[in-house]
Amino acid sequence: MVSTAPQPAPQFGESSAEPVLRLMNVSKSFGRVRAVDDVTLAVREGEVLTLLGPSGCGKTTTLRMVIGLERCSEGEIVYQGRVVDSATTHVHVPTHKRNMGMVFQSYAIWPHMTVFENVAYPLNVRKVKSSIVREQVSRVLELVGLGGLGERPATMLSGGQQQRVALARSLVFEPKILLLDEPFSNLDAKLREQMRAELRILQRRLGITVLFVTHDQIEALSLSDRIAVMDHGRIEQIGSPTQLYLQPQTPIVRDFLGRTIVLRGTVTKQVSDGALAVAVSTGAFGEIMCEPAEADELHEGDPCFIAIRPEQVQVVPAEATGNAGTSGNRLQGVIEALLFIGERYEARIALPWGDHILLYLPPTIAWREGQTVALFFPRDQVRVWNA
Amino acid sequence: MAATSVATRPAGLPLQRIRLDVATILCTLLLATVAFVVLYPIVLLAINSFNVAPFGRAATWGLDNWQTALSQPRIVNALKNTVSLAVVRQAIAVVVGIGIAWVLARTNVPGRGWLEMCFWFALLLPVLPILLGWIILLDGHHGLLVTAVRQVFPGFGFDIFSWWGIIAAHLMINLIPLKVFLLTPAFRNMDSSLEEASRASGASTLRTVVRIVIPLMAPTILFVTLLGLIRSMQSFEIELILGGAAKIDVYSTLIYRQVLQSPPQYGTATALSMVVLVGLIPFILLQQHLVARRNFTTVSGKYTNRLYDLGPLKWPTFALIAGLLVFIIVVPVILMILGTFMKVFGVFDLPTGIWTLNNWQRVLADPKLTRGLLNTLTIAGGSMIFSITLFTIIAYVSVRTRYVGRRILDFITWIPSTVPGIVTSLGLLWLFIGTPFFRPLYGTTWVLIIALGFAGLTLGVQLIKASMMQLGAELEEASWASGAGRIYTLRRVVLPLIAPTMAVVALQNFGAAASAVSLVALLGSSNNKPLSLMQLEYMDTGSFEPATVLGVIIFMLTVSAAILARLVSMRWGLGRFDRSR
Repeated sequence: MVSTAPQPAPQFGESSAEPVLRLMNVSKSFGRVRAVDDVTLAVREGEVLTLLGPSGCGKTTTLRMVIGLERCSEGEIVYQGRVVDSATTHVHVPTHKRNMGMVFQSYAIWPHMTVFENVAYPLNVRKVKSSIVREQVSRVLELVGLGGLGERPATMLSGGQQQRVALARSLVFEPKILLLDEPFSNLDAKLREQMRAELRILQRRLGITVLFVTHDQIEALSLSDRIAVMDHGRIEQIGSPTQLYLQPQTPIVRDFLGRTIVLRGTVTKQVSDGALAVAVSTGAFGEIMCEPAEADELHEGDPCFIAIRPEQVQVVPAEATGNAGTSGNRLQGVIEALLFIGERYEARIALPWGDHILLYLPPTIAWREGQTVALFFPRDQVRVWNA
Repeated sequence: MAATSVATRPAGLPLQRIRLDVATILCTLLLATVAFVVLYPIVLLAINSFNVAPFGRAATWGLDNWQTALSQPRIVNALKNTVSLAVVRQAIAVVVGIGIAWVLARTNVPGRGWLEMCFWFALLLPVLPILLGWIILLDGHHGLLVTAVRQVFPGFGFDIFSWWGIIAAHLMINLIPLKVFLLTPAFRNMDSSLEEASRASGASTLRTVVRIVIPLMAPTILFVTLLGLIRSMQSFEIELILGGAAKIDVYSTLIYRQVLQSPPQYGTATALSMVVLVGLIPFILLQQHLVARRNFTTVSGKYTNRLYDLGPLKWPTFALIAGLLVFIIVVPVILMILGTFMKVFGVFDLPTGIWTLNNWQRVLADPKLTRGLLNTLTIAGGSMIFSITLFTIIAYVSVRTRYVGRRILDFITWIPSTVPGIVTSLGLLWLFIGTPFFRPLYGTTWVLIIALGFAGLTLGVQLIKASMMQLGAELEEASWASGAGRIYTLRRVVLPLIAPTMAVVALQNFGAAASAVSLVALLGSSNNKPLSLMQLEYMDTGSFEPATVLGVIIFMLTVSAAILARLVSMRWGLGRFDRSR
C-alpha cells in the first residue's frame, strides 16, 4: 500500500472534484445584527446554485462577501482552491483581483459610456490588445443578442437591453463564476420569463458556474441545479429544486417554495410503518394518514400540522364517491367561489369546520359554486409537522 | 457546530480591528493636514481673544473681549438680521429653485439644456461688479429700472439699499443659480414612473410635484437648504455695500467694522466669531446626520426618464425662465461692461457727455498690468488645480470609503464657512508670522495658492460630495468586479460622471481666487501682486471706473477658463454625460 497524505473525503455529496467556490462557516455581523450566520456551502463547476429567501435573509450579503464587497466576520471563502477571504488569517483578496463576473440588481451600466465601452471595460482593465477587445466584445454582444448595438449610448437602451449589457460585461473576460444579484427584479413579467430562458440556454452553452440570488421561487426553481433556501442569515436546506419542493425539511422551506395547504390537527395513532394518523381540526371530520417530516418526532396526542401541495389534492364531486364520505384520507368541502382562469378553475373551498383552502380544478368537469366535493389526500403526498 | 464557530474566531481579539494599511495612513495624513490648516488659525485666534493687551504689546489675559463682544447691543441686532435675512432668502431660493429644477429636469420645456447651462454660467459671475450693475438699475433715487417703473406707476418705490434689496441681490447673484445647479441633477435622476403613478392616480401636476416629487427629493432639498443657511453666515460683500447705507448690520459686517476700527478690535471680532462658530455646530451635525441617514442615490445605473409634456404651457414656461436669466446674467453683465466706458460710474446725466475710453486706456497703459495678469493667472490657476484636487479627494474619502475619520474630515470642511473671511485671513496671518517654522513661506505664491484654495473648501467639497452621493454604489462596485482597482475606477467611472460639478467648482475657485482681495493683501507680497490688488489700489485712490475695468478683465479670464473647460471636456467626450440634451 503506497500511502500518501490522506485524501480529503469528498465533502459535498456525489461530486468529488474541488468545487469552484466554497464558503466555510461564513458569518457577517453589522453591529449587533447577524446578517449571515454560519453559512457553509460549495458551488460545483458548471452548476447553477441559487440562494433563495425573503428580503433581508442575508443572501445578498453572502453574495457581496463572495465578490469581496463585504468582509467575513467569521469563516473563510475559498475560490478556485485559493483562500480569498478569511476572518482568522485576515487574508482578503480585493474585489478587483477576484476575477468573478457579477450582474448587479440595478445593472450598474455606466451612463457616460457606449454599450461597447461598457462591455470592453473589463478587457481594457486587463490591458488586452484593442484588436482582440473588439473581437471579443462583438462576440459577447452577439451572444447576448445585442449584436450591432455597440455604438449606442448605454442610457438609450430598454430595461432588458441594459440587463443584457450588464450580462455581457460580466461574461466578456470569461470568469470562472458568474454572480447574479436579483438580475430580473427590474424587468416586467414577460421580459423576465424571456430573459430567464435565455440565461438558462446561455449558461448551458458556456458551461459557466453561476451563483444566483433571488427571492422569486419560480426563478429559483426553473433556473437552478441546486437551491439553498436562506432565512435569518442561515441556510435552511440545500438540494435540487424537486427535492426542496417535494421533501422540504423545515416549515420555512415548505412555505417559501410553492403554495402549501396547511391544516391543524392532532396525532391520533402511530402506524407500524412509520406513518401517522392525524385527526384534522377537532377530529370530527375525518382522519388523514400521512408521513412525518424527517426532522420531527411526533407522538400520539401531539398537536400538529398536515401539509400538502394544492396540486396533489384530488377533487371529485361528492355524488361521484357515493357515501364513502370521510373515509380513506378523504375530507369534504363545499365550493364557495369558482374562478375560471383559462386552463383551469381556481376554487375556494370551505371545509366543514370553517377553514378555507384554495385549489385548482380541472376544466373537464362542470363545477358549480355551492357544490359539495370530496377531497382526496394521497398518503405519500401529505406530510405532518410539529405544531 | 458550536465548536467550529469558536475555533474560527481568535480568542480575545475584537472582531473589527483597525487595520493599519497604506490607505488608512494616507487618509489620516489628509485629515491631519486639513485639520491643521483649518483649525490652527482658529485656535490661535481663540487663544488671542483672551489677550486683552492692545495690539502689539505684551500679552495680558482676561475676559474683556468676550464681555465687550457679548454686551454690545448692536450684536444682538446684527445676529437677528443675519438670521432673518438668511432664512427669508433661503426660503425663497429653495421654492424658486425647486420649481426651475423640476421644469428643467422633468418637463419638455424647449432649450432646457441651454437654460441649465446658463444657470451653470451664472455661478461664475463675480459678485462685486454684478452688484454694481444692480445698483445702477435699482438705486432708490436714480436707478434706471426704478425711475422707469416710476414713469408708469408714480407711487412706486424700491431701493436696493434695504433689507429686501439685500435679499433680492442675493437671490439674483448667486442663490437661485446655485439652487438650480444643485437640484436639477437630483430631479433628473428620479425614476419617472413614480411621477407617472401619481398622475395615473388622478393627481394634477402641481399635486404630483408637491406630494410625490418634493417628498422624494426631501433629503436633497434639506441638504441644499442647510448648506445655504450655514454658508449665509459668511456672506459679506452684498451686506457690506447694501446694508451700509441702510444701516443694516449683519454678523460678518459687524466683525469687519471691529477689525477696521482704530485700534482694531481683533479680540472682540474673534470672540464674536467663536460664538457663531459654536452656535452653528448643531446645524453642521444635523446636516451630517441627515446625509448619513438618508439615501441620496439617484443615478443607479438603470434609467427610465420620460419627460412631462407641458403642452401649450411650453413656451410661456420657457419665456419665464429665460426672462429670469436675462435679469440674472445679461442685464448685469451689460451694465458692468457699460460702466467701464462711463466717465462716472452709473451717472447718466453729465453735461460733458457720459461716455469715455479713458478708463480702458488708463488700465491698459498701466505698466503693472502684464505682471498683474500673469500673477493672477498663476495664483488663480494654481489654486484652482490645488483646490479641485484636494476637494475631490476629501469628498471621495468622506463619501466612498470606510475610513474611520471620514466624518471628522467632513465636519472640518464645514468650519471655514462659519467664520467670516476676514477672521480666517487674520488667523492665517498669525499662523505665518507667529510660527517660526512657517515664517519663510510668508509672502510666497505657494502660500497664496494654498490659502485661496482652502477658501472655497465648504462649498467645493459639499458640491462634489452631493454629486458623488447621487452615484449609486453599484456603479463603482461593478467596476471593481470588472477587475479595476480604486484609482482606475475613480478615473474611468467616478470622475467622468461628476465632471460637470468638478468643472463648476474649479471655475468658481478660479474666479474667487482671481478676485480675492483681503487674503491676498494680508498674505501676499509686492512680487506677486495680482489684478485684484491693482483694483483695490485704484479704488483706494478714488479711481472707481478703472477699477471696474479690472473687474471686467478678471471676469473675462474666468469666462475664458470656462470656455476652455468646455472645450477640454468635449474633447474627452465627457459631454455625453449630459443626458438632458
